Amino acid sequence: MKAKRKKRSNTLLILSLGIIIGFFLAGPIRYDGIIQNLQSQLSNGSENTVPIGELSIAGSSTVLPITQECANLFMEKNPLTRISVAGGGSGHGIKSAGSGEIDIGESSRNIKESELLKYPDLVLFSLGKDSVAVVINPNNPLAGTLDLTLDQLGEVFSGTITNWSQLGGDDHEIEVYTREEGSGTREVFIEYVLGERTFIETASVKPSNGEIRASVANNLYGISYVSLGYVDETISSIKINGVEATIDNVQTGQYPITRILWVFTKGMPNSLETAFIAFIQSPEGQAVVEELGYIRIY
Amino acid sequence: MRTESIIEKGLFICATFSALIVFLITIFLLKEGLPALNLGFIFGLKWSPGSGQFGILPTIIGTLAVIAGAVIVALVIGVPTAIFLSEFAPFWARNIIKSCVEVIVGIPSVVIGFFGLMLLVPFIRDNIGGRGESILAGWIVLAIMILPNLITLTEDSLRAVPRSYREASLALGATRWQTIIRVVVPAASSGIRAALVLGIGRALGETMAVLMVIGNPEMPWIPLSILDQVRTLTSTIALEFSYVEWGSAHQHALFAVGVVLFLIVTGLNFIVTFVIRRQSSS
Repeated sequence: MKAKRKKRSNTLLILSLGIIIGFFLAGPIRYDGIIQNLQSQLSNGSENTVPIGELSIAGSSTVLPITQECANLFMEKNPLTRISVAGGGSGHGIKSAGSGEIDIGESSRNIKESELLKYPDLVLFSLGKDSVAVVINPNNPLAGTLDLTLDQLGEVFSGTITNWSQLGGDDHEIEVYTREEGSGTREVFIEYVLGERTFIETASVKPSNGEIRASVANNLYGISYVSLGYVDETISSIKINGVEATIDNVQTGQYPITRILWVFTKGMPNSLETAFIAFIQSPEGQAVVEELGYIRIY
Repeated sequence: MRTESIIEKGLFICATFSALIVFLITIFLLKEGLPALNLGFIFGLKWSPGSGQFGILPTIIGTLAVIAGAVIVALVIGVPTAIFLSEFAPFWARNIIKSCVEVIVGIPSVVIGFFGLMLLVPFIRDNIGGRGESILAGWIVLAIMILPNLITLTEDSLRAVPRSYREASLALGATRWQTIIRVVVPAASSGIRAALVLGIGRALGETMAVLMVIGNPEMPWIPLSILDQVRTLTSTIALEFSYVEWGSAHQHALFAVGVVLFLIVTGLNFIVTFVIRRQSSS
């Protein structure tokens, strides 16, 4: 009995020794890689700006693709950083950054006065510009030719115009999709298009630009609005006042809807936050902004 | 002896821990939700957080409509499947069907929702009518998610019926079909009901997949057709919670929605447990 127990404790000892030795063998190898990298960066003379640490980002699903792509590039260059990017909507981004739950918030609309009163120490940085495109299904007979005024759009989305035949299309109900409360895209759309009117009661609420795109792409008689960056061949944007929703037309101011995309921190950003925001504003980050269909401003 | 008592205490701590969690969640839910909970809230017809109107009657009815239909669809498909599996299926067929059914459990609900959004919704819109996003789509998506457990549990309880019951019934001259319907299924009924309760619980709590296919109208109304769009209690919370301002009336209203959901689940559990007890004692 005793011998057996001893034998077992021996095995345990050998096992744990093995594990410890394994750690030591595996440990330094991985460590070396990081240290070498760190040293090479140090020898480049940038010892004060080597970004180390973790960043959490959340908010607008419009800004999300930009921060996501920039975070990937940034982490490739700075292997000692971990950046996590999430959505949740502009309202969520402002709330969580303002209360310090996350490091950087993102918003696709301006911060409201009530929010600034609640979170007075937000520091804002612009990343680029965007617009909101009104989109329909590419197989809708009106695709490519539909041209409405802002007021007509307001009537469509508030339910005064309810049939495509009223716009010169098929005799079929107009099926409106909209974004959820708290979405920056929704608020910009209300500001420019709806005004005092409210969305038609039957409008289907979808919680992201991506879901709006999928719904309109799947519904011949659907209509909705998305960030310009989300327009692709699966949906067709319509003209407003005769102007197509393109980057050029937004830049010249002919297309009536524009907005600035923001990121912000609570208080002045620390060195890692500064480095990341500076990266998005750098030529490389701005190239990402452009590539994703938004408008660079730096 | 000493180890014995340590283990005993450890088990006791684990057990109290889960009880404590339920307790804390309930208190938190009630504390945040009660300020908004009143008759105008439960029987109100308008839900418009922007203008401060919080009425959830259409949402409650929408939730019940989606769940009732889904459970019925699942029963209509699931119970015959279980009967086939336990009474008729040859060994190889049972193996194939059972493993297929079990795979469904592993599919994340978002994936089922995506299937619903991309295939089911357009199919309903083109072939049946309405906007596609509808109570009907919710039924089908939810039924898919309830089915695996329902089938497995029902089959298990059918198999648990003693052989002697079947033999006695057949010996009395009953046909195989009569035996199944009159003897085996009634004998297994408490297991089937338990499966049903689990299904209802799953259906009530399920959020993502349902949210993607039921439309969530801007201003929900009391549905009159299975092709109408509805909101469910869970989809309302999921859609609006990330934005809500802490401490606002809207936040309390969403917590109150949670309280209502909690009450419905507890109420249903209570009713079903009661029915099972009465059934088994009689």
